[in-house]
Amino acid sequence: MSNRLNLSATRSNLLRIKEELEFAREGYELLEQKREVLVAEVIGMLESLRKSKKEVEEILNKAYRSFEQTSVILGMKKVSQITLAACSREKIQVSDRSIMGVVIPIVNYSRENMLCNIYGFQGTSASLDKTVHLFCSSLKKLAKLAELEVSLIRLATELKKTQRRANALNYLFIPQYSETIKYLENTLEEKERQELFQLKRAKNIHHKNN
Amino acid sequence: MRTISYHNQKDDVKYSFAVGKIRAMETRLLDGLLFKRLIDSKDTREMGRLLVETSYGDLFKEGAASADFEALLNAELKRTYQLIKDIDPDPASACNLLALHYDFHNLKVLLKLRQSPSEADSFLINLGLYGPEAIRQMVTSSDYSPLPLNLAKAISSLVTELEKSSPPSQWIDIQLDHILYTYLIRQAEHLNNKFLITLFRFQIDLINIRTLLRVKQMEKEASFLQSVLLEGGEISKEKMLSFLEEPNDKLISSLNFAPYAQVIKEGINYYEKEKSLALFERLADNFFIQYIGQAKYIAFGVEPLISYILTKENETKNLRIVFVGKQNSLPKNIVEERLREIYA
Repeated sequence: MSNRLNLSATRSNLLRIKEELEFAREGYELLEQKREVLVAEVIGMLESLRKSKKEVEEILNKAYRSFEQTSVILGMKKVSQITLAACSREKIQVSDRSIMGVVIPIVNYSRENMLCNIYGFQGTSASLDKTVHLFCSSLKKLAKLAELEVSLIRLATELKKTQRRANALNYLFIPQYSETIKYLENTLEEKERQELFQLKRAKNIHHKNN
Repeated sequence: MRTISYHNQKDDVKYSFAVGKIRAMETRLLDGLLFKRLIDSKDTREMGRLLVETSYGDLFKEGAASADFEALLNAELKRTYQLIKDIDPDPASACNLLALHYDFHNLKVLLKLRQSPSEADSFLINLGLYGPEAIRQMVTSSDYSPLPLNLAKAISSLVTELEKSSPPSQWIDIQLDHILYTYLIRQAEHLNNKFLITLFRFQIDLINIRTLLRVKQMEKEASFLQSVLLEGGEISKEKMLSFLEEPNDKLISSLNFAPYAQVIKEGINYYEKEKSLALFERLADNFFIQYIGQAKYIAFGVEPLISYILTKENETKNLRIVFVGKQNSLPKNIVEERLREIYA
């Protein structure tokens, strides 16, 4: 099946299509560049994400282990009583930055007070301090992980979109337009030849009659 | 353990029945072998089955949900306190002081949740000298008169302060701990019970030393330590504060002659190596088990009753450790490492 566009073979159409093809080629080059930048960003970020995920897993693992040990010593009822009325003033600020037009979040995490300030020392164990400390430290790492994960999802979506657009231009739009141009040029040349031939024939007939 | 010198002044004959009963009850305490079997058991159900054969039998009888072991263990403690109350010839006995910390637990819960008292139910412990309902009544009516005068006064002024400035929840815990231990020491002195005075003093000392190490680890300042250290121990608050800037070795050497020197030495050495106070806490609990073990040699007096209560507390603590360990499928060695010594 022919891929070309269904256009009437006129010179104006040919000029318009040529212009559009030129524009599509430029667009394709730009999209290629964007794709390369995005791929580089995604690869760089993947490494940080992997590292951050590992860190979070490690610290949460430690925290839950420590929590288990604390509940072994203190009992769940005591642990729940200790965490009552716990108010920790967390501040999470999300600002934006842009990579190739993709909006990426920057998560800033800060805490006003340590959670250790919520319980007394009698009847609580040192492993509780450790548990609380580990969970508090994990929050900062979790904020970083959230930032990286959301960024990566957004970048990957954009990369997919860019890839699809570049492919559409490269494999569909540009060949279609090139073929149409070829067809139009051929048809127009054919028309020209025909006209020339008709002109010559007319001229000959005219000569003979005279 | 170094022998603790204390003289029982009241060889009170009126305790002869009570002590006899306690001696009989002591034979029903869980032994090390059973704990070994409990640790080796498959799950909490199997633990429940093993406990059916013991003094916990009627609580863990077939079909009882051993998953709710906290409630069952508390029921056993409640029964223990009731037994002591029934056989204690003196209604104002020193044994009353031992249950008070549950009332303080409930008081902490209710004061922390004073805005929404209905949520407190699941956190309250159904134990204590007064019990959760009485404490709830006091908190809702802000009338602490059923408590002894000293306590009522101290708690009322704490609540007034609380309503005025709404300080952090830690403040409630710290203040109530101060009030409780000041009261315990004062009452023990009032009862002239040397066994109990020494016990509370040692408790305060070991709590303070542990607090000192925890505060050091948190890198908090001296004023904070001063506010959390309990008063009434053998070691003065000033001396404890002076240890904040010193290396931990100094603490070991200056307390070399204390009865709990071994706890401090081994506990702190382990802490220096592993950065964990788990051993210190276990050794401290073991020290108290050894301390109350002296009551074995007292034929007449309240001490065997006190000793029995504390032994039961230790026993349920150990059972809880094994239950929680089983429930969370913790490795056997972690559970064993945390078990307290068994009174025998």
